[in-house]
Amino acid sequence: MSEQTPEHNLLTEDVRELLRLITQTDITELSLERGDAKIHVKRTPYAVAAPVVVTSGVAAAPAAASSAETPAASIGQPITSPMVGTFYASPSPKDPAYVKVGDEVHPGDVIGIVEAMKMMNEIESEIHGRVAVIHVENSQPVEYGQVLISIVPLD
Amino acid sequence: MLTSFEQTIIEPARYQLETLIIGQELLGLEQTASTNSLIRERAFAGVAEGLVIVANEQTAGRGRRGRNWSAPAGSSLLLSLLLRPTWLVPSESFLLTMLAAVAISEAIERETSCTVELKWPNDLLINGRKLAGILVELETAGPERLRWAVIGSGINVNWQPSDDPTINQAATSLASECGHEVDRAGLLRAILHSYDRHYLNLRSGRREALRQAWLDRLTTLGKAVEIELSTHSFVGVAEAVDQHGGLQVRDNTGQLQTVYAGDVKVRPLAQA
Repeated sequence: MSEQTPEHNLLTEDVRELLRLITQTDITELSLERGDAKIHVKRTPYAVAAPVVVTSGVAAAPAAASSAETPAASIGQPITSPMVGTFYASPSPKDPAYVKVGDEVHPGDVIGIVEAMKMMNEIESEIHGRVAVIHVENSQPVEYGQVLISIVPLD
Repeated sequence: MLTSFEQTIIEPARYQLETLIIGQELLGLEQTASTNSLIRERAFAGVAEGLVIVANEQTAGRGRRGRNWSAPAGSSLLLSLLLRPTWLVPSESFLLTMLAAVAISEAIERETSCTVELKWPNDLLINGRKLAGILVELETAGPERLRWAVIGSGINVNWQPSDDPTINQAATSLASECGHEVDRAGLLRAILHSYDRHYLNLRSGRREALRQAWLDRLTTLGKAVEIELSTHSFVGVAEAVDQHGGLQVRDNTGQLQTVYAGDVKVRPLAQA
């Protein structure tokens, strides 16, 4: 990774950041070019299994294979809300979020809380993977079955 | 060697305790950070349901969303219990909030001369002031599996919350409202019995009876309320409760909004 060109960097950190930002907007499709690298992101509502196409110039080509392991490459399994309530990304307002895009999670790890009727419902990941997309914002009302986050399986 | 708390509260509560599930294992601690936190650790470790932990004092008692719950040592009943209602799916877990509110209310009325009412969804009030708080923490795995629930409650018994300026002044205690000291051991035993009876009933499918018992105590309906959500607040009139236990509030624009999470403040009715 030490030999990365700026184009390589676009394919790793920038993709992660881009995915984080896009989930906070209503944007469903976005193209971005920088140097030889080009990224095209398209998502369906809640961005479930959003296809992300990463192409790059000649210089970046060798890295394209490894960057396929970034969250962008395949947006994996959704974790849904088991009840109607309010989603919280952290244990309390003064704590950091349980997870952020790019984090590795293991089975049993808490990814957020859904509160309903003063019950704090801790939502777990059932798989080992990497957080690809967080579809909901802190303090957002959620419906039963609504996708909260997507996790790309690792192993 | 038993601690003084075990001798004066736990052992007397255990005497003639006739429950099938709740309190079969009953632990009393002079001091702990948070009984809910302790039970959660046991839940992760696979301990059977029915475990109850009671503390004489909490050093880091928790309320909703990181708020603290504080009370002087020896003044309250601070207890948490572990349930494994794997026969409920997570979307039905509101029944556990109803269970806790009804079970504790009935136990208090059995042991004192006071009448307990509920503010949506599970604040126990006497004469309109908050007597007890309940915090339920669940762990679920997917929409079909409820692994465990911890029900924690702090009940103000023999102290005057109004004497402590750091406590919300809407708080009260049994001694303040009922006019006499209340035996914590007797109240603890009554709570365990009440929880056990309601839990067994719920497990056998009597959901409507529980819901009705909860509704009968709920005094929020028909009142002007202010709803504080994490993002905004609004005012309206609480009209009904939906099938998930959500509070339906008619806002000032005439829209019916259903509230599942948030703080409800009952406001004095506007002058006609």
